Amino acid sequence: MCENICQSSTHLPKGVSRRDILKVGAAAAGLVALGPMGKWLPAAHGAPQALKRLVVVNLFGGNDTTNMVPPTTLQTYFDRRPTIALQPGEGLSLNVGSGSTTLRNLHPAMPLIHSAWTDGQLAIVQKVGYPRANLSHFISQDIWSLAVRDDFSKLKGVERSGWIARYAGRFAPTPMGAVSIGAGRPLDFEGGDSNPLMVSSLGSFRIRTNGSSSANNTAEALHRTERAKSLLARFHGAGNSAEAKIALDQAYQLADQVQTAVANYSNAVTFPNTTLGRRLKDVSTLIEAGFETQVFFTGIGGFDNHGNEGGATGTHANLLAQVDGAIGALVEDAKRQNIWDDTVIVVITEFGRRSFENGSVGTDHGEAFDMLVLGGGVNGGLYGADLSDADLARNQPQYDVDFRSVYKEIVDRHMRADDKLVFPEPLERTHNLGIL
Amino acid sequence: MTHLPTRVRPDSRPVRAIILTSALFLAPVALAQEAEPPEIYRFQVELAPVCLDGAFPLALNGGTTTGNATLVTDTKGKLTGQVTLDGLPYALTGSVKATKKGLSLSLTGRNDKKNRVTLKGVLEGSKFTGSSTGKGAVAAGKGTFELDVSTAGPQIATVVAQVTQGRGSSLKGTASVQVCGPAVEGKASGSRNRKGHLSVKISGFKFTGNGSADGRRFDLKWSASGFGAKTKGESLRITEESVSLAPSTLAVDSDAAAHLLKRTHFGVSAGKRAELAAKGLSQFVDDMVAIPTTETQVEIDAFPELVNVSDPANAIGKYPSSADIARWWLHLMTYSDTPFQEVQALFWHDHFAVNSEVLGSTELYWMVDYVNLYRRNGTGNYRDLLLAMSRDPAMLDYLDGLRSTRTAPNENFAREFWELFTLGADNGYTQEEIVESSRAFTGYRTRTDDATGLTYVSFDTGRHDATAKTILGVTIPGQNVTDDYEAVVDITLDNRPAAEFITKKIFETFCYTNPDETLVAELAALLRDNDWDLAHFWRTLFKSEAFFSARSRGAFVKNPVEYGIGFTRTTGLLLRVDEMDDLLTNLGQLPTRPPTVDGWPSGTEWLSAQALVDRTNLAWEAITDLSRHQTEGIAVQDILPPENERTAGAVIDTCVDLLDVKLVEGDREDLLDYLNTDRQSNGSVVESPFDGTNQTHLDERVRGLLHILAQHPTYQVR
Repeated sequence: MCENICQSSTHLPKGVSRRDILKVGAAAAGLVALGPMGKWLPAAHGAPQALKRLVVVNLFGGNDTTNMVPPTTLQTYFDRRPTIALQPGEGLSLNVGSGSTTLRNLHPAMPLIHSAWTDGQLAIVQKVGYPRANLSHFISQDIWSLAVRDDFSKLKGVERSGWIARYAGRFAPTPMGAVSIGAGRPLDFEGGDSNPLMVSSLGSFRIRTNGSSSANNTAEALHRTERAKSLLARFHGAGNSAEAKIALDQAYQLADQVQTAVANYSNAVTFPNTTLGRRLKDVSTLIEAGFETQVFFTGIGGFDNHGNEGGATGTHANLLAQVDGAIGALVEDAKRQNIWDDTVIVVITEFGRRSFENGSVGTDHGEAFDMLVLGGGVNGGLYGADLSDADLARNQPQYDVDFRSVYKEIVDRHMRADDKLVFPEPLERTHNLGIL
Repeated sequence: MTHLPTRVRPDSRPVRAIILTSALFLAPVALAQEAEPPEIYRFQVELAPVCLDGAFPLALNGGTTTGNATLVTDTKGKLTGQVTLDGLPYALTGSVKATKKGLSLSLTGRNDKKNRVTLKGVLEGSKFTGSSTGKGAVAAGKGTFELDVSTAGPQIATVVAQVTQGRGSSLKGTASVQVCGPAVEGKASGSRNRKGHLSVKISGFKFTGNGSADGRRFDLKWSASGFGAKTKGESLRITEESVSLAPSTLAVDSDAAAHLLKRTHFGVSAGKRAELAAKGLSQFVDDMVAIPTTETQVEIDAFPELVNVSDPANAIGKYPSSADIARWWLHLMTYSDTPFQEVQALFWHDHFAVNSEVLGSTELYWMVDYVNLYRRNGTGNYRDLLLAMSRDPAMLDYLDGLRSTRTAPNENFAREFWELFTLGADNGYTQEEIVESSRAFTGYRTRTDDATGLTYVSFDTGRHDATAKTILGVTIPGQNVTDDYEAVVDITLDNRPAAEFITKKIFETFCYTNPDETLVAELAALLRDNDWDLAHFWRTLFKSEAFFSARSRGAFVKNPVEYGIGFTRTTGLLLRVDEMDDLLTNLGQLPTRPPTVDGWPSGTEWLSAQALVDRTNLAWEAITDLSRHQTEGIAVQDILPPENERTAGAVIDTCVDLLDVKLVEGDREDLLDYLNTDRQSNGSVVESPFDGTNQTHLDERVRGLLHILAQHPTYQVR
């Protein structure tokens, strides 16, 4: 399926991980520290061209996509959500050009994402999920992170690991190959053979040495770091401490490089000063600085709207506006850096919500939801079976498209990597969507 | 899926870089994986009768002027040190050298250009005696001196050579030599033909032995030079280091003590070092393994972490949040005077992993009971522990035991019970047997206590599968009175790999990885043949040759808890438990929240650029929490020598010793320079001798020194 034009892991011998490489690197006298690291650091300022990138934006809490992409003609929707339903006139129309008809709108808080639709660069995949839905935030998030629904013991030779860790271990095995920003330590990054970078923000990824900002204090801090580095340079041990030396060398250099990237950032596009805006600005900063990061993982919380969710305005609308402003800026920035055609942004959540509003004028946990996929190379349009009155007559819409069908397509057609190595579990339902 | 043919091949530079590197190193990796484990030879040779490392009384001109000279010897026999004479500090430099007349000493003390004194003499008995030439304030003109070295031990070189057999009979590898101070690293080589040969070379030090080799035993005529000495001997018998469970006969020196404390006490402390020296190894380990049976003061002090103002009167401390429980345990780890209790509990928590995040607000108190199960019984009986673990409400919830019923048995716990907890993956059981045992693991359910609102677990015969089950060749008869958990535990323990599996896991957490089969069998027998008594097992382990062997030293990377709790305990620079919670969460190891049922990563998985940045910042948080430390009466000098002995050198030696950092030549000078200079914002360097009574020096420079040491590669290792 992935013949000779995609990144193949067969070049990286099975069982040889970055750690083994480091081990041998350390054993070879004199070849300490700078072994594979040269390539994690930016070669030159400016986005590496033609590198394929994926930005995953996770909306924690369970985003109500039924209201994000409101149906325009399904009476069940209006009947079951008397207070919070968006009226057909309130949404942004997804009908573009003559003869185009969709039964859904886009939320009015999302004008920038709507313009990606108009440009034919937004795919909306309807009723995405996985078999045997789990309505716990914790467990459902894990399933999305692992991208394995059943048991790892049935997948011979695959260690329990997050899908980004598996991707990074095979195809981007450097600390900058995959980066998580502001998402804690997502399970997506756990396990596997690589050590991807996970930071709360780029600004926080530095070695703190300075108690106060007085100039003499700064001089002392520099002196201290200088001494720590000279002890490190002099040290030549074997075994674990030699590996620690490599990691320390990398820590100093990488932290410096990231701080340099932050300091030199052009601010050519203004990102909104919101949580997600700042995180996507960090994404842009790494790209502009020339890091060869392939997968970015970030997101915001607040989507667990059990009460007072609102409709065209209100709590949920404000969250969507934040998503729209931040993603809109990233799209504009990617175009500025001339990498939009090589970038895909996906907007996910752990599950959708119930078909009906509850007594607190919010919605409870559901199952399937609509996933957004944006990118210069994306074939815009609605994918998957259309949402129907029958779907909404149930407690919640059931899944039609396995989320891994979308991920697999992105890894295969966009990242040009062997998706079977990243998503080893056979799917119960497969879709060839053609988004990319 | 197929590709659109118009797409161009993506730039794969990052991947190519790795391919190149791995291709280069592919062969050695493959070799290293197939090769025999290295042979380790550890031996000691006496280089000289005294080791000039320490403080020695110096008397000039028959005692007219006296002082205490602190001296350190490097590999080449160069001496550095300090002495105060008549109130003036003198920097000492010189050398010690083996001559025909015996050990000769040459030392020059400099205060400034005007004041200096030169000493030349030889060792006679327990004193260096000879002539002095002074200029300036002290001992001017010609005179005599005596340096009393009666407190100095013999200068013994402890050599650890780690070699693997290469072509033919040649041996090659690394060596470390330790002589009264930090170990220095170098190369080892040898051969095993009829004429056995082993040599060790380290800058300034050389050991050569020639003789005969019989397998992994050498009988050598040897010579050694270095550290100012030159000596030789005959019939040095060197045998590959024994790693049995027999009691170690090595003296518990400073390194051995640090090794034990780092593995069992979250690091070194002066108090525990003294306790170990006073009690001796055997008593110390016995006491360490004996977990307190009554409530300890630290438990009383930690309890408020679990209490919330909204707790019902009849359930005080029963409604903790998930964070409360983590902080309660961090409190115990930080303040306990019996930290092995927490260290071994953390091992069991990692092994029988449960994540408190799955528990609801009326269930979270289960996690406290879960932690206490291992805190209190982790050195008890293994069979009892397994049984209690299986019925533990937190575990029942985490691995779906509470949802495993007669009509719908859940395989989750049944699978992990064998795969992760007791036997190992695919080790003697089948999928069918997992289905059978999942039927045995049925019957528990939750109920609500009406008085407190708390959820509790009880056995419900109606949910229990009352039919017979056959596992591992044994049939559990059908019954509907009790659960079948005890039966499954007993059948499992009767199975051969059960003792091997758990004892190897303990060994690989506390000693070193990949013990050979003989040792694994010995370990298993130790537990199985003593009626599963864990206390006996732990005691034997921590007194054994294997534990103190060279391959055990530094065999592990510290995990974040060991690093964070260890740094704050050793330095006394404590963090608030909620700060520690945040920092450890960031580092990926918050106790009570392992990422998966398989527990936390281990070994070099903890080493990444990210982790090292976060570690260094954790130490910095502790170092800069000055105002709170002042409020709580914590001062950095609490770990330092008394004021009158608190020279820059002594401060460095104390901190290096406590953090067990291995310095190399030149490091100490660097650190002295750090303590004795001030850097100005304009870049100028101002001499500013360290004053051990100056609180600003202590709060800035000593804390700064600790930050430097916390970043040392050897501090990442235990």
